[in-house]
Amino acid sequence: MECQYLDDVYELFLLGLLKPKESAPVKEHVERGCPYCMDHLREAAQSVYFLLSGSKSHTPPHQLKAEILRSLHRK
Amino acid sequence: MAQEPTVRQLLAGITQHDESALGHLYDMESPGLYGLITEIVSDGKAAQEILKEVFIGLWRDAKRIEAREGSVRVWLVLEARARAVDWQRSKEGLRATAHSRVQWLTKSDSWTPRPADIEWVDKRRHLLEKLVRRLPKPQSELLTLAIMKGFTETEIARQVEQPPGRVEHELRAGLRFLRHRLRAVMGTWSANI
Repeated sequence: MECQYLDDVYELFLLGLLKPKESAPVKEHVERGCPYCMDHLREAAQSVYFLLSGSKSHTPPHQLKAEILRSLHRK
Repeated sequence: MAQEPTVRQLLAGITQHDESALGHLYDMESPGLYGLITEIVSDGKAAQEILKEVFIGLWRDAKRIEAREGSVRVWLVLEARARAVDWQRSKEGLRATAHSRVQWLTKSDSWTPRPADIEWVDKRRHLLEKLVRRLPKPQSELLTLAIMKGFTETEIARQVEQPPGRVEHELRAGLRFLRHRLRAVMGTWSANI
């Protein structure tokens, strides 16, 4: 398979942790809609989601929601 | 009794500039996102500002995110992590490029997992966590430095005083370990776990 050499970099690509010379082929494959790379990026995104969504929940200060909703009118 | 709207329905509302949909999604997702941001960023005020930017970004990019039919939750955690990592790295005088990757991904074609796959990850989280605890400690520490600190392999090598090649090998082995366990748990691959 043409893209198998990229198998170990998809998670690092999503996290922006690859050197430019390593991320360039992934970018190019995504841009041309390479099915292998898309499938593997989707799978990598599941791993990344699992790692990032495991933090302990922490309720933000109460006023922040109102601040966000107010700021929508300024955008 | 009325059913709670799904994340997908709320996103559809946001694309129509329904502020109550954004507010509802904020109530659902902000504690998890704020937990992630405060794990990365040491400054409470900055963490609030980052969370605010995440939801304003969602408001702005909702149509683009909805069109791909991928999971909104994945976009939210990637966006929150990237903004937090960039803030922390800028403070430490390091290059901050994580958010530009997420912006690029937001404009790209369908790479996001389907919401059903992410629900499945959430349902099997307990089992996955149990499996990931078997990850060798050095690999687990490298993963934390990469994911929560946004350190590149070269920066990690400097930090842990190891050759860059070794760090690269260990970090990628850790991600491979996780990927294989995820495949087994998701039922897309059978492995001896």
